[in-house]
Amino acid sequence: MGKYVGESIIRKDALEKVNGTATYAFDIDNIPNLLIGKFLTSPYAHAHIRSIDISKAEKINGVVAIVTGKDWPVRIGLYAGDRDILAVDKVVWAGQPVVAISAESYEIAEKALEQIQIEYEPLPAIIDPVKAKLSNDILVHEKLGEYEHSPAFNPIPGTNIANHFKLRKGNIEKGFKESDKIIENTFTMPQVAHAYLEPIVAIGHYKRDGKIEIWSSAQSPFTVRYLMGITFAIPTSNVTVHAPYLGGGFGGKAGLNYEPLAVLLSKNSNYRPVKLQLTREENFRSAPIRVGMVAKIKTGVKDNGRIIAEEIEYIWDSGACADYAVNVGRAGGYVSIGPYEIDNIKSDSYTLYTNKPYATAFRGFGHMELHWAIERQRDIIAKNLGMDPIALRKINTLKAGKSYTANQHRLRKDAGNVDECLEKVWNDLKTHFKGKIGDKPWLFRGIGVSCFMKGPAQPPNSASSAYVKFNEDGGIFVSVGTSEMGQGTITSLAQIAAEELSIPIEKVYIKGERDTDRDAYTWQTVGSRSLFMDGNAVRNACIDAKHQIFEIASQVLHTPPYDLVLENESIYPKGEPWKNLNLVDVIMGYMFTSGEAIGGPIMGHGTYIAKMTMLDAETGAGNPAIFETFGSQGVEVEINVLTGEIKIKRLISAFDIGKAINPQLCESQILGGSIMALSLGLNEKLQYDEKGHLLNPNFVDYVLTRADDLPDEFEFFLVENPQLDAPFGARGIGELTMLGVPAAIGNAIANAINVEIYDTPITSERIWYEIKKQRPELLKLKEEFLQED
Amino acid sequence: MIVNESESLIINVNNIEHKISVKPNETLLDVLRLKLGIKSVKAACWSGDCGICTVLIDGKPMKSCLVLSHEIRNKSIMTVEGLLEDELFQKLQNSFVKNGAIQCGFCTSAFLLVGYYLIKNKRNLDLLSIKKGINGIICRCTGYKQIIDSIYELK
Amino acid sequence: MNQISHLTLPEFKIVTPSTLREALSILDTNNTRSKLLAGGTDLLVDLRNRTINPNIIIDLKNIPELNELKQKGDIFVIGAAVPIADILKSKEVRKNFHSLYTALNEMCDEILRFRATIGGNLGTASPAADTAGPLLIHRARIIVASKKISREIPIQEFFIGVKQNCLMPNEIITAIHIPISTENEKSVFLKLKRNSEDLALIGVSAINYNSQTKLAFTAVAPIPILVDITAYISGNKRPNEEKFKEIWKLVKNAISPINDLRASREYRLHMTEILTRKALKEVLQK
Repeated sequence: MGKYVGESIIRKDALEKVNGTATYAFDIDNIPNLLIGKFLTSPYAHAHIRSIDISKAEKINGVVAIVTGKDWPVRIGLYAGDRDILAVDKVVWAGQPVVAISAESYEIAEKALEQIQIEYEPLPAIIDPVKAKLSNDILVHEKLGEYEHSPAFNPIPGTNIANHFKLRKGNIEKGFKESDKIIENTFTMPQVAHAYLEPIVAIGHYKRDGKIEIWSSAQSPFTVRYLMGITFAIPTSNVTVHAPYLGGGFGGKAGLNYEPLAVLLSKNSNYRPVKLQLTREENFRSAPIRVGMVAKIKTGVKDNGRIIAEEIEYIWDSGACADYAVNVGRAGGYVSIGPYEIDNIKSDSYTLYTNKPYATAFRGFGHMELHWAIERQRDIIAKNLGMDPIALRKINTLKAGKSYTANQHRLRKDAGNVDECLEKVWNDLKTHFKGKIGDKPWLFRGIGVSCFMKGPAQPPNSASSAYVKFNEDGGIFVSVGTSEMGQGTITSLAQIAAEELSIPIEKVYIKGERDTDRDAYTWQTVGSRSLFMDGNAVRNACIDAKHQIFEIASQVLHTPPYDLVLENESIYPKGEPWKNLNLVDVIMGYMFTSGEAIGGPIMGHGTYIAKMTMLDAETGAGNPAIFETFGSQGVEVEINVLTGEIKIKRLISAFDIGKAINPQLCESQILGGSIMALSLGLNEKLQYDEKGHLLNPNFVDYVLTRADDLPDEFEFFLVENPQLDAPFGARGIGELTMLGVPAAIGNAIANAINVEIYDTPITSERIWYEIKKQRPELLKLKEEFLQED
Repeated sequence: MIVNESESLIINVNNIEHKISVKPNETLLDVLRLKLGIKSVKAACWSGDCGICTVLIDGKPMKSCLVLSHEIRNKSIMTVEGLLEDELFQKLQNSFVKNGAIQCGFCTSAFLLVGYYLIKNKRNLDLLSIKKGINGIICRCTGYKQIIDSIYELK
Repeated sequence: MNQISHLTLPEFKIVTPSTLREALSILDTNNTRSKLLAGGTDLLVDLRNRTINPNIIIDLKNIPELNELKQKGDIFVIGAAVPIADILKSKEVRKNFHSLYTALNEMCDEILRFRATIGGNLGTASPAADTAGPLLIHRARIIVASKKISREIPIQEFFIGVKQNCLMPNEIITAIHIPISTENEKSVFLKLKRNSEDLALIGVSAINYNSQTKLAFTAVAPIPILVDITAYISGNKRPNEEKFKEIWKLVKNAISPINDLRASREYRLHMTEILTRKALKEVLQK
């Protein structure tokens, strides 16, 4: 294709970042009269607040304001208003902010917090989401019925169920009756932390004129703007949100988090701006985390490998507030069975409240969790049937243009090809697999693969826009609403603009920081949607600009606009490049030699809106996504059965992304995403005691993969079956890079030692424990181990 | 000499001498970010675990959240800002840019400084010694590989 | 007490003595209210978490006695304030104390090793202190000084409880003395971690010298444990399975691993056995 699309163009933000000049919300402290904000949190997971005594703290010199929940008892939330800005009557998780302070310095704020006395009446807490579903004895939200919520969700008052999504297809009883084998398993994944490096930062300025200005580490500044208007009952247009570069987000900064508290503090601090910056421990305890999952799967299969019935119950542990977790449950519900076609499905996806930190979006949005379950189940089925796991999958996978997805929507013809990804990964794994290496009888090797799909989980009216503004030198400023949090989308968007307008990439200016007053609107920076949605908007804006340019040029060149070409910064009639007009002479308006001028500064604008449908409340039927990216991942592992230690020798990925706009950015996403998934799969888990206290709110005991833990070898394949309504054919990839890794590891372990793993993280201890349970004879090798050479 | 209250201290940061007044409980990280406005130095854990506050003290990488300001008397501190004209450092920057070693950028300065130290000080720098050398810094975006490759390219 | 996650450090005074005498005299008058600063890698974290609240911090880094790193006759001296990175550069340490060298090389990360010290590692007296096992099997002595006297403490008497050592409040660890063996000595240190950068879930050290075989264990009891198994080994040869079971019985009785968020007691026990097997393999002949 083009000059810029398909090229590994250097990131637009690269120089700022290597020079240390890229500015993050964390770095902003030069706002005049800025105060420091700090909050005191609940030590109980569930308790009534009896009294709050701030009298001693108030007297401390340098304390400007102290606020409690009663000062602004508005419930906030993305899809359901279930979260107090500060706890009002009761606390629902250990770590929930109860009192907040603004002060002249951290020292003062910290000292003042020590002087606040809160009396609690502890209540029994519900920690386990399965118990939360079974019993209504303990309710996280007694007033669930009074909360406002989006009509797309279905909370059940009097229970802990924040949402129940139903998927129904065919006749499940009949399906099981006709099955030759029925296989049932339960799989789990725990709650985890995003562990983005830049902690959550919110600077709020409630001004005397009733306007609000915010600087925030927010992935979705326009959503923050909208919800802040509602929270403080002022027009959306009175709110300005600045979202500078983000030091990582991964979904953890997608919603509305600490902006309302910063603004509330500002409002009560004589309208001085207040900066709330979380410590790492606060970030673990008080900021949103990722859902945990419990999946019960019952699959009916024919002896020939055809899966004909699947019944699933997903339980998503949302913690104390629903935030994005209700939508995770919804997306997890409609994708229930993964990239397969099954005639009879009954799936119930429940989002459950528990007394733990609240869960939000996380790269993958439930899909890594559900594919952990589905793809482990597929391998276990294959083993039961004595079939090759790839052959079993290929009998059942979704076929573009032919099949219906789980929610009975016909998959578009240009939707991409999961089988092609599977084959690429499997062939690569098999070609390199040497089986057992060396003569150590306690070391085993195995290979495993998984496949998956994901599209952006967004509302049907999710929209994006862009504008393209020419400068005097022929350079353009591209404005979009999507945030730069490391994923690199702005560079790809710049490439799309350069390609469409045929101008040098160096002349395309695009900012990484967002300003809701200046920038074009986009719904949110989530769900791997930006390249597709904002990419289309940018392309449309460029086409609009081109029309305006041709309108002027046609009068100069005496050629109708539709006969003109814009190439390499000049405009000419098709086939007559020598009759050219310099672009730079047109973009600010063209002046004839007589001095007569036409046109004016060029500014193109473009929009794009999702093409989806609502989903049927009883069956889940409908079109839930603008695209599905398909992919496959595989690993080769080495297991030491004496210790349970696991080494990832090779990690292979393939994705049908339609078109790689920037192959190096794709590679970066694949490397980064698969290592993040490796870390989640092998190490990560938020650990709580029975009372709901988080035990590992730090980077010592919340174990993350580091440089010295990398697999020996990486390989990846970009499959490019273009999608016609996508910008240059490209689908999103950001989240996809994680989805298959844990399941591939589980499958490779089973392949190596015939031990099935059902839960993550797959720590050495867990592998050892399962060996002891399933194949204790392997541990006898320790005797041989002592005597070997 | 017991230092009690704020005391003025002469410190050399990026080859510039600063006379600043610091309290004993201020860390080097506080001094750099808050007093001198050197924002390339980031922080994320304040416990020595994440490593992104790393700076060079007398040429050696150290995590500035774990250094008291009074310990840096008569020492020379180097951050990214001080190395922008250094030829080797520029090569390393280019290598990071070229190899795609940057994503959110929040950890980038720390990796550049440690990479610079490793290239300058370690003979026979191989992939394993680079991995061990940067193991004290967390990156959540890149998966490290492109960072390792960028440093390796300049060994 | 309210649970607050602090960004700041508490208020304290700092003193930077340049002689040992000066340091000891300041410590003597302020001993209950002061804390010693060597590498600061634990100290600053504890200060930030408010688990300690000293009035005075005594910075020991400028004291010459604490910065020695040299052989004195048949003793190797490691000053308490020498950064781990510098100890690792010593050819003598590498040559004579393989297990200690390995432990230092596995301790924290390379960046922290420019700050962390052996004095700090021992002074903190964590049950998981990586250097404790190797120093136990290498028969190290800890040299401490106070204003009045200085004394040598055999390492096996040093630890008295979880994060407790036998130092008086007015004493400073100045150095570690390790005898250099003339015998053919073989030692090893093995550490169980959850990933490449972690505190020890278990540390197992083993040594064989002069027909003596000893094991040391860290992170599996309130204090580091030394177990002499010489009686079970003959001719520097690995024990057979039967003999190993006797050794393991002895070890199992000596240790008491706990269940915590890092690992279960059961896994720690199992892995102690496996690492003991591995350690014996490495220090004994087939």
